[in-house]
Amino acid sequence: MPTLSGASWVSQFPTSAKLDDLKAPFQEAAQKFLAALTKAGAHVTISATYRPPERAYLMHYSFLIAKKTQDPTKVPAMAGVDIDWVHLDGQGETDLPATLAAASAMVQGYETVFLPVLTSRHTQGLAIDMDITWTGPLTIEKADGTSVTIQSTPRSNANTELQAVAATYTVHKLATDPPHWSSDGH
Amino acid sequence: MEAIRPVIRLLPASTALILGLWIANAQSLPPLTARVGVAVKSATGICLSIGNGQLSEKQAVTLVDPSKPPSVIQAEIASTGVAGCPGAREQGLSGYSLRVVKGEAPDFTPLIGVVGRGDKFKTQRGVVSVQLSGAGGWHGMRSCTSTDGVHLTIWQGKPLSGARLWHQYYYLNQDLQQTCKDRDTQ
Repeated sequence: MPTLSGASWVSQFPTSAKLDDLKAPFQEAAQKFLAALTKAGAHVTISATYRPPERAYLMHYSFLIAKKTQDPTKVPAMAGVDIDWVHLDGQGETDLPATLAAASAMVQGYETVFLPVLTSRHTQGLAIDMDITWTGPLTIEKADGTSVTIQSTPRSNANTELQAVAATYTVHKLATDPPHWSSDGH
Repeated sequence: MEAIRPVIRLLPASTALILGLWIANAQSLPPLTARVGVAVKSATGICLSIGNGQLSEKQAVTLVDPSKPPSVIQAEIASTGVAGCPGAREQGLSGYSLRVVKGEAPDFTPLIGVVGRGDKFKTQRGVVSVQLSGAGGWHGMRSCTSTDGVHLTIWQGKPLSGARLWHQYYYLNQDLQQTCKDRDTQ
């Protein structure tokens, strides 16, 4: 029995901030890089790792329906998401105002302003959003076991020496988004 | 500046005049990082994150939503010394809460907040431009999305055409359709 669209869907399929939810072999790469950061005394705050594809699907189509650019009767189904996008009136006809209102409630709940995409490195479990900071020189181990001391600034994700160290673990920085690191830099 | 004066003397008069005016205009620009920040309305109110810890209550802030259709909202600082906006990722930003004086701020949309009175704003062909008090030219405003957030920018002249005068990234923790150009994010 499908569940009608609406705000109750927003709490389902939450974004994870756990390394355990990443996919192999990126999971192990991220774990090793973070272990090196911790050992070096850096401070790491993780905002997001795995974003379930189901969440992306719900965010994407609720946004399009609410913006009236998607026919709610023609939304493709997704396995594992038993949602009914179309609300019916007492006569069994499509209740468009109720359908739009339910989609809008989801948009509000997700705090969506811009079009969400259906797939990304996060939905694949291959990306991590985190902020790394430290004070003073940072002596950190590379994947080959040798150490490097980073004297340069900024003492944050934007440090290119830190990004080079991360790359030895196959954790690559995406330049356009300060917190975003992934398996391939996308 | 001293180094290029001899070069200007060697140029044809018209070229030297244009170059001189451009330099004069650039010199008269106030430091934008202290006057411009990012504001976001959420369920808890409107936050402002800006590289200026010296602002005081009741100072005027003009909020600009550069997305389409753009809008301009008048606000003022309601309280100081508060946590900044959660998605502001740059170091050294101060936080303020705002109250709207005129207009209505859209929910969850990262806005450009310009502090002070006397600036002029105009909307032309879907682009909001600001003429800062004490500085000659019009500066176009723009927002675009990258993988996980929004890039807000102010440009000399039209967006993406002239020099980029101000830039701030706002993290949304969502997978977004990318609309940014290289010049937005570099």
